[in-house]
Amino acid sequence: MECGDRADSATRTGRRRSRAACACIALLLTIGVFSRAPVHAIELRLPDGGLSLTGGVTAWDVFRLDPDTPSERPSGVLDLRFDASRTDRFRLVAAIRGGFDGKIGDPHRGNPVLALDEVYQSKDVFLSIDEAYLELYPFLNVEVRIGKQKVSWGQLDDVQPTDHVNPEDLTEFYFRPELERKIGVPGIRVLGYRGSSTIDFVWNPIFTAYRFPARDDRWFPPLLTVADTLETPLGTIPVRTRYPDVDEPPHTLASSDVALRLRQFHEGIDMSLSVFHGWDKSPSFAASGTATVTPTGDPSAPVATAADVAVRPSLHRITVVGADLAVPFLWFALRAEAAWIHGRAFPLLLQNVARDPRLLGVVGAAAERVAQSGREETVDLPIAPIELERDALQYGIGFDWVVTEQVSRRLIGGESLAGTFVLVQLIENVIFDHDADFISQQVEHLLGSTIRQTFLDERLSLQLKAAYTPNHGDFFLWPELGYKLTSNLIGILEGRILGGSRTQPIGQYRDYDGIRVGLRWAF
Amino acid sequence: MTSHAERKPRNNRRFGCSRAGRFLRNGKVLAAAFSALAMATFTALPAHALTGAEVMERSLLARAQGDNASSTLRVELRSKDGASVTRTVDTYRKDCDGSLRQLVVMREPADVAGAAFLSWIHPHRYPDMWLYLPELGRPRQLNPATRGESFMGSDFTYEDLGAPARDERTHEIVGEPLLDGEPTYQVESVPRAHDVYSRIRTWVSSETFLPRRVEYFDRDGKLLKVGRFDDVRIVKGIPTVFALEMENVRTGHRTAVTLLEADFDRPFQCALFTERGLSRGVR
Repeated sequence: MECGDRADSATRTGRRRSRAACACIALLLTIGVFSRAPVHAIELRLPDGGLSLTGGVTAWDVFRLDPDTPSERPSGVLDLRFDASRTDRFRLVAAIRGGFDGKIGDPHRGNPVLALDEVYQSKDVFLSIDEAYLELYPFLNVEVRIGKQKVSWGQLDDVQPTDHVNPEDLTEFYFRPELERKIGVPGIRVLGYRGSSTIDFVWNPIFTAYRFPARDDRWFPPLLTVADTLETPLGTIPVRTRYPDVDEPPHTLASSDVALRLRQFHEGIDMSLSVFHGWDKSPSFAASGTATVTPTGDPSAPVATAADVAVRPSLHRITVVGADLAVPFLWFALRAEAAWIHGRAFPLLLQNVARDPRLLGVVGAAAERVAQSGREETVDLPIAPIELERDALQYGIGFDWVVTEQVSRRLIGGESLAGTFVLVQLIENVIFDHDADFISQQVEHLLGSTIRQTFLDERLSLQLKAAYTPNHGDFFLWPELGYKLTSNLIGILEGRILGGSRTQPIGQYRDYDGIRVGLRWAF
Repeated sequence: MTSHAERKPRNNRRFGCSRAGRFLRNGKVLAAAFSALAMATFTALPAHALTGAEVMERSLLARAQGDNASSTLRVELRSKDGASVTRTVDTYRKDCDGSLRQLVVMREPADVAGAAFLSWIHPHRYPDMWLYLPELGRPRQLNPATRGESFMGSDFTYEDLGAPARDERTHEIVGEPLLDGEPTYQVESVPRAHDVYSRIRTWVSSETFLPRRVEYFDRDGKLLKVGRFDDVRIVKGIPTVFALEMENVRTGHRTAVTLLEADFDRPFQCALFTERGLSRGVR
């Protein structure tokens, strides 16, 4: 791995840790090459239960294709999962993850344990309790799960309009497996089963924040970047921008999340209704700021103005009512999902902040007062909202299909394509009362696709994920290749290709193409 | 789990038809393969003047005994060049609410551990099937049309794992040869309509009614796959196949399955053969 010259912006400590991650990769390679004997999970099976310990070590590096984009150092992560159960009594699950996160650009030292209530967690050395819960079976068909857990609802892939229980870790954009992106929430889940019906209730009393890349991290969104200076009719104003963390809401019953899902399977149709009320887990931000006007003593320019802007994650309570469906249809499995979302905040385009007459009026008046009084003055800036709450409808439909031997023979004259999994889905987002300059159009379309195939007895796996928004021409391609070097060691090669408009959520990363190379040793 | 295994007795037994068996109508003989190894049972009837359809029905019924069956299998995929991949799989079966439910959970290696396949087999319609992949965290319903496709790279199909089709073939006894010294019915199965295979030839033991050898022919009539069933032992009174191999003669690829453990009297709840069991296995 090319480690030495990739840590140009890191501190000396960061470089040491990068070297440690490189050493981790080298160690894994050594283990993989010289140890071909399979290593098994630690497992104890008893007549009425059992326990197991599984896990793995993953080390990787990301090579950016554009050197002007933020760099990333090598990373190394250890995963462990403990699972113990006694039939019909209880089950205890604990999953922890820790290691070195090379995406962090400006690491903060101190407690490495990831907190529940922080959006920006700049901990390059980290420890995370992904899940830790106790499952009890008080009645024959009732399951109670208490603790930190992940819940997956809905039928579509990657984007589920009805799934709102867990926030996501977006520090690597969407380039992580779906379940790995989810952040466990502490709560209570009650599942009841009767025949082909399931009732699923979740209560999450403690606010859990989504994770977002900090200002110096590779995947910090360029759309949130505020220019260092603003050219205004009053002159050039230097701007200092801060990105404070979210204000944690009070721990009250009213600030908890509740969700309910009723699921029924009948004659091949898997359908459910769901409702959620709680904190919106999609990222949104509010801006506030002050302007400080100081006398200069220069008659030609009697005052100097500087602005301080804070862009802070904002929280919104939403109510979601949704339904989903999966049913075999012709040669496909059809999936559909829809949700009405009340109270979601949608971001606005920020092109005219420097020419906002209210803002200019406040700063201009302050400048006049300071010029007359000769005393420095700080005024609050009446920055217009950068997001507005609107009701929305999100719905989608997807088809997945497995290429049969027969179709493969017809297409290519052989059976190489047989077993290829193909998924195509369309998700639409409709904003009601689209009466402002939103980043999103009133109806946004998102086309997604996944193609997956394995070769050589599944030693070689290939997957391509793609997303495209016809509204703006944004897209990303995410090809992944995995090769099993031994029964425990897998080599990983990924590409990340993005494009589109710089004012859009995907297109803003158009210069962030990269290649991820890694190794995973798992048992 | 237990693995009390004795050698198969040579004497015939009275046919014992389980409730589950009623739902397994004549389907592909291929369906006998994986499930037969996991939990195959037989009880041979005095067999005279049976038709091909009756032989195949009894072959399918024979493997469905034991209402709470579970097993652990070692599955080895071997390519022509000698490279191999080994997996460990748990299987479970129970008769619930008028359907036979089967759950297959991958245990090893680590990269596929936790993946699971659930099928509900109905008497008069196509099975319902779900696949659970841990990285998704949710079950994915499958179209029954995919039941003839390979399950995770093996020479077995989803159908072999417990999703047999409705009876879509005619069956005819074309001979009663000895196979490795054992008397068998040689049954030729031909699809009534369009199918992946042009015909399937099965050697069914006339003593045990377990399939001993199965040959699959492609649509051009050429031999495609051969399945071999060996090492039948008694587990808790139920005859069980302990070794099975499926070979794709065209590619030289083989899937060898060895039964490591089997049990037939664990009191599973039906609720475990749902999304609940898919995501965490049966414990």
